[in-house]
Amino acid sequence: MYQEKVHYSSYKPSKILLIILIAMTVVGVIATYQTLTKGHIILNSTQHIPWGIWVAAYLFAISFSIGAYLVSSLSYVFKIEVFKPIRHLSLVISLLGVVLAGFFIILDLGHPLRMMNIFLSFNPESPMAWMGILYGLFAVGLVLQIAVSMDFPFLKYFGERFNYIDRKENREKFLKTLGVIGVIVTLLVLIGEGGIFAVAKARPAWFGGLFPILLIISGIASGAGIITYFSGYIIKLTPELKTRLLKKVLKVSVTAMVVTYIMLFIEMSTKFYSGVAVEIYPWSQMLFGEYWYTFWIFQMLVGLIFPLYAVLKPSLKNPIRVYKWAGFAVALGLFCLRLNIVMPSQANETILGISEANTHWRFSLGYAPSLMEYFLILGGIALFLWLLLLAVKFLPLNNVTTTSNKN
Amino acid sequence: MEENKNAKEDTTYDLFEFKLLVDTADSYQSSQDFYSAIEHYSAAIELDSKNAELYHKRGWSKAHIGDIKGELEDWSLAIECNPNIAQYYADRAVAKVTLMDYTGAIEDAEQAIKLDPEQKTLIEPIISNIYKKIEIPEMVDEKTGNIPDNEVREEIKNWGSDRRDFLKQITTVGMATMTGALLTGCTSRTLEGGKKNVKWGMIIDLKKCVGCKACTVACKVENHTPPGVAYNVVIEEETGVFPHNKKTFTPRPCMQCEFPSCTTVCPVSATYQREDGITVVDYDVCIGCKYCIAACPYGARSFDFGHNYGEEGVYPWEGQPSPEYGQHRERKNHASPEGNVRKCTFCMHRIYNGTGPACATTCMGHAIYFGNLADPDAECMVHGVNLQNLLATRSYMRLKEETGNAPRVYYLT
Repeated sequence: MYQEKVHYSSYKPSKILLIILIAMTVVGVIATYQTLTKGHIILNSTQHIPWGIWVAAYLFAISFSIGAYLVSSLSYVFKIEVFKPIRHLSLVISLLGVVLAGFFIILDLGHPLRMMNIFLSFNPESPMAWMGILYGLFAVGLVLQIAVSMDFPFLKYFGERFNYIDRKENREKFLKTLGVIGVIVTLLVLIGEGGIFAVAKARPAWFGGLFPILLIISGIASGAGIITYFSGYIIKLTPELKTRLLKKVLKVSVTAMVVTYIMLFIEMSTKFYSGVAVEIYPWSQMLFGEYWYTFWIFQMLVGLIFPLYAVLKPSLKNPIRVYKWAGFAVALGLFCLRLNIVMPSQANETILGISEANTHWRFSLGYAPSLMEYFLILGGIALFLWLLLLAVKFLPLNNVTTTSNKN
Repeated sequence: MEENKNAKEDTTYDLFEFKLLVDTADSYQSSQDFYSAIEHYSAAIELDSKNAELYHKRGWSKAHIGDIKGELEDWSLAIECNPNIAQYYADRAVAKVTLMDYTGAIEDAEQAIKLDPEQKTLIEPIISNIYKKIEIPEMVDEKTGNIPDNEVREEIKNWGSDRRDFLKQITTVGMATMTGALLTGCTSRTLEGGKKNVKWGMIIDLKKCVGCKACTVACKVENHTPPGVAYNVVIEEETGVFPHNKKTFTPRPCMQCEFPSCTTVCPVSATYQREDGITVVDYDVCIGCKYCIAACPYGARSFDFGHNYGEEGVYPWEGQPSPEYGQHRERKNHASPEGNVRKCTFCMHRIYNGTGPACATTCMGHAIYFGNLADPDAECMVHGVNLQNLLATRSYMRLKEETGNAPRVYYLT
């Protein structure tokens, strides 16, 4: 019978981290309770900016979830050996991204308990409906892939089927098949997700074919960035191998990020060149508006320049630490990109003067997240980290080594 | 005050106090302070709970504040106390028509005629209204709206009972259909309907609009919209430099587009276009994702965040049910339409009762015309002007034509 020797990570969270996580959990619980009991009156979104920071966070979660899965497929589908040590962690981060995305988007609904209506009264013309269905399918396939890849005990009850995948070559073949299907489904999910924005002709900054592709590429960047960061803590390898691994993953992340920004630059420059006010406005808000620092400091300086420096500098004093934080910086920069995609595009008036037609603040064009919105973000991050810590404790996230066959 | 012959003689209350309460309530009602009238009638009812006329009068006050369900309850109580007064049945029939209980309305109307044949003239408009809804034109004289003869009335009764059997049958079929719907993902459109060959539309004369925003207020009052929700707003634009400046006012209801962006993007098919062209939102299906708000090129949709005008709790007026879609929903305990997206429906509940939308009937400048744009001979429901003639003789435009939505709101320039 084939038996693998698997490694569990020896990572243990520090007391300070646990205290911070508990605090974040408390505020997250408060925000969740407030949302479920008081409704969306606690949000600061308006009639002209209906989608706020929770939608941006959901978009980020879904992107990095898919991106992490695509990074795992480098090992499962394309058999690139150097990525094998992180393939379990990539799958788990992908699944936790699914959970996080679900957490944010369900609470962003006015009636969260009616979510099943997507299945009961499905609208085939709606990109959001397709995205919901496909994402659900992806989640199911992902759980199966994790179960097979990490040899979950319940598989023993599948008798013959288990025996088939219990042999190493069959298992790898099965995982490859799942991986191929998973890659196709995830690409469709991101195309659907981008399609939600791409078909909105009322919002000139979104309307067009850019977003589906942008979300795929930036999703890979953010997924790989997050994997780089957590691999720095969780994966146990010799320093040389770990440095090599982190650099490889970071290179994937930074390459995808550079492509993302090239696409954005092309989009922005054509809009500015056109001189059309409604086309220019969202981009000018991003670059020179009230929240200019989100772009210039968090996206450019932290999210682009620092990771580029980390990847391009030939030798570093403490490469593992630098690569880890470079991965985090990429993810942070791309989260800010999501904020800049979602918010400024909505701050454009659909009809000139409409924001002044009603004096209630819910009709204004300005938006800043409320305290409860920030609390929920913190709560979501805490949820992600708690689940990751559980995964570190109970799942073989570390690199896998094989032993000889035993009868 | 009509003496209630069936009332049990109860002399335990102070007659002077009772008369004072009733007289005070009557005077509040005459001066149209209906909330105070209801309060005083209720206090009088506590003293004499078998007085049918008190329930009847309280029902009238409730009718005036739009509390249809309360009105219906009171008239039922009046009938319970004294089942021999034709007026009570006639008034209850009107309430049932508003709540779209046509079978119940016809039964009450017939009972009223049975008790007092003189009620016939009062009942005529009710019956003809019902016939127009169920499209049986041969049963009523279109010009006079005369009540049909006894043979026809029998037929209506049979139609009523046939309809009940039919309803039982379709319930069985409905269960099977729902199973199919679960499997196929199709939904039953509970707000579907409207007349065939009708496409409701609006024509707004920008030369007549003075920017008073009475339409905005009328819409808010009619639909009981909360703070932060507005179906009809007036957009102001000032151009030029003094002394050559001018202001343009553009009322902006829902455009009820021929090719709406909102219906294609809704993931749960909660919003859809009816046969008569009105785009509706099913509050029981809508999940509140706000995609339709992002997709609407006219900013015509509003999300109900749950605000109230009252600083502590809800003012009596805003606690009353909204007549939207004829559903008379109360906004409480975070139930729909709170947490849903809401929009202008061209006052669907009014137009099918023969009255134009609140904005059109209120407009001081007579700037808003409303009617069936699919009929070349159709006249405005409010001002009686031929609609197609207006479009043919005046230059007009539609907002954001480039979107391809083909809005059904035209602006005369």
